[in-house]
Amino acid sequence: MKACSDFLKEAASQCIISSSVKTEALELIEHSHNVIVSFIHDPLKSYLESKGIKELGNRDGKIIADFFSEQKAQLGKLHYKRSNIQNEILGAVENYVASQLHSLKDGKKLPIGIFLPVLAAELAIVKHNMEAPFKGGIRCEEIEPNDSVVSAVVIGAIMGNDKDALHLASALQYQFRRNKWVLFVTTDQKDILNREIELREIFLQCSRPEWALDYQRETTKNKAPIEHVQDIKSYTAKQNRILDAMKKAVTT
Amino acid sequence: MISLSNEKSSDNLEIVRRNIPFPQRFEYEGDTINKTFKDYKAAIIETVEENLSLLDELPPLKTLKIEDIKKRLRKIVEDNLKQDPVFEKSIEIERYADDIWKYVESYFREIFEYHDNVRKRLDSEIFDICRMFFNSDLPMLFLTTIEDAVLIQKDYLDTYDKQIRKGRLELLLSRNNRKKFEKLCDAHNRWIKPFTERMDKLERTRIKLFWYTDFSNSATVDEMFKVKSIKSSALDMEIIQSFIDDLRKQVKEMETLIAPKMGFSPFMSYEKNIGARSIRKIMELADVPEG
Repeated sequence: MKACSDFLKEAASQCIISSSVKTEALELIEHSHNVIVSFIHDPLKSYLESKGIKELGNRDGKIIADFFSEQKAQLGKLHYKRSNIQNEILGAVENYVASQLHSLKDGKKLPIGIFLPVLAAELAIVKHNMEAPFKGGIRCEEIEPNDSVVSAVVIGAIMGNDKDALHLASALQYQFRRNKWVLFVTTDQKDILNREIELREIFLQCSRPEWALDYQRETTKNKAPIEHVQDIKSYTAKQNRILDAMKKAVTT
Repeated sequence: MISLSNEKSSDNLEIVRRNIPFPQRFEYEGDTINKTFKDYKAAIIETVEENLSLLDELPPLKTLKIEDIKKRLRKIVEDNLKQDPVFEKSIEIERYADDIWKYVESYFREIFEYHDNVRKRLDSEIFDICRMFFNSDLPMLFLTTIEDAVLIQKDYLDTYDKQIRKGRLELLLSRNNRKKFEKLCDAHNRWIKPFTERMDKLERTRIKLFWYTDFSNSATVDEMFKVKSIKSSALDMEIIQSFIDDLRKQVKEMETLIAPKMGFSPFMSYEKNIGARSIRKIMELADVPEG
């Protein structure tokens, strides 16, 4: 994430976020925030009340630890397939609660009617800060990629994740509409960067933020995308598919 | 680190309108001599009336009579304002803004600290909303919508501060050039205009939503603004939904207005903040396809 921030400090004015990336990021932030707050609101608060706990201090970690142990045991019984993921989600909530509890000053006890809302209030501010770059910090472009471009990306780069295919298709369509090279900057190694060669074949360059400026320098040495494509003597099947899709997208 | 709790242990969640609207418009000059005491009293009366007029806009309540609420609310707001240093400061600052030619230096000396105090108050209101939510069976959207409505007010303050930090030197240096000074004030008044009405409307809506929820769950006027159990069965959930829809729409409008003025804000450092780290972790896990 530091690499991403460093890159944006250098090149924020040249960066855009596609509307699909913005929507997904905001939905994920909201969802993840809600998971934590709901958990604190219901099972945790009810548990503390049922145990007659009125206040908590930084030495009361065992109470909270017992609660999370019980939750994880129940989870193991309920969700066979995704119990690992559910466990990790629970672990993320646990980390947050534990860290906040331990940050209380020695000897200080807070009523649970204050401690739990504080956890939620602080998280609201964190969520808001995380949303900020997507809500105006970086320029957002409304891009609705043509279905045929999305399909060509899915087939061309063997994409398993529909949302990623939508983001990549947005970048490609923007690139050919503007006739300007786009560099798709991401930290997603598994779904996107591991397919770098396939994506380059269909004319989209991806990069980790650490190397983005280097890649950008390289691509600006090339001819503009349309002229570059016209110079190619024979296209591969994947290139033909993406170029056909692009023609449709650009003319509609 | 827990910072919001800072000894907020009272059982009151007194969210009311406390401000003369944000001191925004710059008037070139006004009659401010010897008005201090009169202004203060007049501002309290004006703000109390503002709260009472907001009450008239509430949907019908099942348990309490509006006249009883009015009496109680008048006293609560009056008592609150009389002990509120931030409110007192807002009057002083408004006086500077009303006669900016004369008080431009005082205005810029006070405004940033005043805004910091307003931000703290808004943080405290977020905490109060969370307290209400944690004693309720209300949907998550109730909480997040009001939180967003408060946080967009903070964003507005940030934007305002950024804008006037940029412009203040020019304004200060133009004090010997009346024409230029007036031009700069006009430009300032032009950019804040679209925000002023929207901010006002937004704050009114979120307070009405809070009041409707709180008052409908109060058996007597003594229970108003107290920490208590909030039941959705005591509310008309269609009314709540319509408040939420309205507020979300207004927040979106404000976001659109503020966005171009925000500039680049770096991504939050996940390493340093435990809340951000936890949200980020769940984001990664939520993004894992099922199967």
